[in-house]
Amino acid sequence: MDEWERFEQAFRGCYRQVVRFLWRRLPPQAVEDAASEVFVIAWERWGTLRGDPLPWLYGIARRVAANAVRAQERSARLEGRLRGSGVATVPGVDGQVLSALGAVDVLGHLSARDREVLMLVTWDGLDAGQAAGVLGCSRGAFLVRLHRARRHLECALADPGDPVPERESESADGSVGR
Amino acid sequence: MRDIERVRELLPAQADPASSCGAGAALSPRAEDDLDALRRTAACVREVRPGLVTRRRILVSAAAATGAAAATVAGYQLRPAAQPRTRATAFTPAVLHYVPFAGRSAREVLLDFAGRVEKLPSETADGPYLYRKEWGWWLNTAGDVPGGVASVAVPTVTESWVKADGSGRQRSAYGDPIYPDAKQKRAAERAGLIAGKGVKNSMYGPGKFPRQPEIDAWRKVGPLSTDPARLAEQLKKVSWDGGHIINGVAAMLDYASRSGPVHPQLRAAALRVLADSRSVRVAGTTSWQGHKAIAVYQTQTWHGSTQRASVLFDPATGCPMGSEDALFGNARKLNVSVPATLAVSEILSSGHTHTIDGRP
Repeated sequence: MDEWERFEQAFRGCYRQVVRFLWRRLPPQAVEDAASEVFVIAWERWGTLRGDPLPWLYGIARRVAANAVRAQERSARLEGRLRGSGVATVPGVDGQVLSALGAVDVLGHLSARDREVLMLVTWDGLDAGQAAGVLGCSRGAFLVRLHRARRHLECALADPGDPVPERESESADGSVGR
Repeated sequence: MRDIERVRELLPAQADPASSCGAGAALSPRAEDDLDALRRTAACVREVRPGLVTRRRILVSAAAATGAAAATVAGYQLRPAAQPRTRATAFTPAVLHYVPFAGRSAREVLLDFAGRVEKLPSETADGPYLYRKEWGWWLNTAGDVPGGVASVAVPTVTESWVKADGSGRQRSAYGDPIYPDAKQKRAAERAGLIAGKGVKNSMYGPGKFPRQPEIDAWRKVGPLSTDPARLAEQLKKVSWDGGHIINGVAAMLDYASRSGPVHPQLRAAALRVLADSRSVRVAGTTSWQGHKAIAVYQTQTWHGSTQRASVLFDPATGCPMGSEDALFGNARKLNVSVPATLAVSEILSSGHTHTIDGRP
């Protein structure tokens, strides 16, 4: 099996999961284009893949989604300026995505960081080591983030009326400070 | 309970908002197109061509479209096709909405189309001049303009009368250039991006008609064959715009039409050549002027930007009736709102005339 055949196998095997990963983070109309860009980048960097392609693709997809969000927010702000209002009238990307999350409204009360950590090990289907790789941190640091995100999720479920405050800081190595 | 187990309990799979996304065994047509584009890239030893815009320079734009959906060009009201659409930009027509032929491959559709076309009666020319009236709109951009942004769309209606020897007349009526904002208007005018103003009327002697070098290239190929395999070999001897075979076929038919109405068997052979191409897709659509068309298209993806190049065929005759270059995905430095059209054209009328001021 040559390199292209391996890539095609990964493309066909992982495409739907990548689309679902993006669907949870982007407005629906941006998903297909983002998926296209993920695999273009993946092909260019195919030689750097080590191990299971799916977490590696998720890492690329996460950055593509972040870029798309920033680009869309810049466009919305610019459009707002052009209209003279100085205020973007297009709903923020996060707002669109969160409304699409529907039944799981409680995620809207969490920070973007907590949401990301939680989604990676639940709907994205990764284990802690793989999720750490996607975020580019150590497994230990990821587990610390996960522990905090779990507590925030439980607080939000107990009292969904108020957003969960960020009272703790995290140092570069993932240890939690007070 | 471990954190992972607990959060999976709190966020079960059935609550996943993307659980129904991407369902089904087969990849979507878009996914297959993307894979095919990458495959071609791999076949060229990853030679990536930034062929997004072959007729204009790429630039950074500081403005966003504000969403006007129609414009008037020399008396013609340009309206977007009446389909569900994402937003139109202020300076490009809406991207055509394509409807796939359910359950049929591109090859099947094109072969069926060819079978119908070759049974049509042949036509006779009523005069030596091929007449064509065509409107077009393309995005002119410049990346090296003092002051930065220069982006403009120039709606144009062009009438042409051309003989087989390459002589004739061309009359172009330019609509008001459309800019995203006043700053781009000033920059575009300073850069001389505007193709013309008002009406431009030009006469040409033998061999001088615009695009004549392309015609000369086709002439060297020899009499065009109605055998698809032989015709495909002849096509390879001439360069195609953007490297797309659909443009090669359209250019070949355009060349053939200068000698008179294109024989139905040649039109059918051209459709069979397209049917044999693995990179060609087909869909039904409605043109900007409201006519039904069969869109034959190819896509090319580069760094998240996908360009869709389309030739529109008249379902009744198998003759090309228009074209579209559309951009999807990451607009990169072009920085238009995507999806966007970069160039469009549609034939309003065609035929043959005896003189350079007659009309069919």
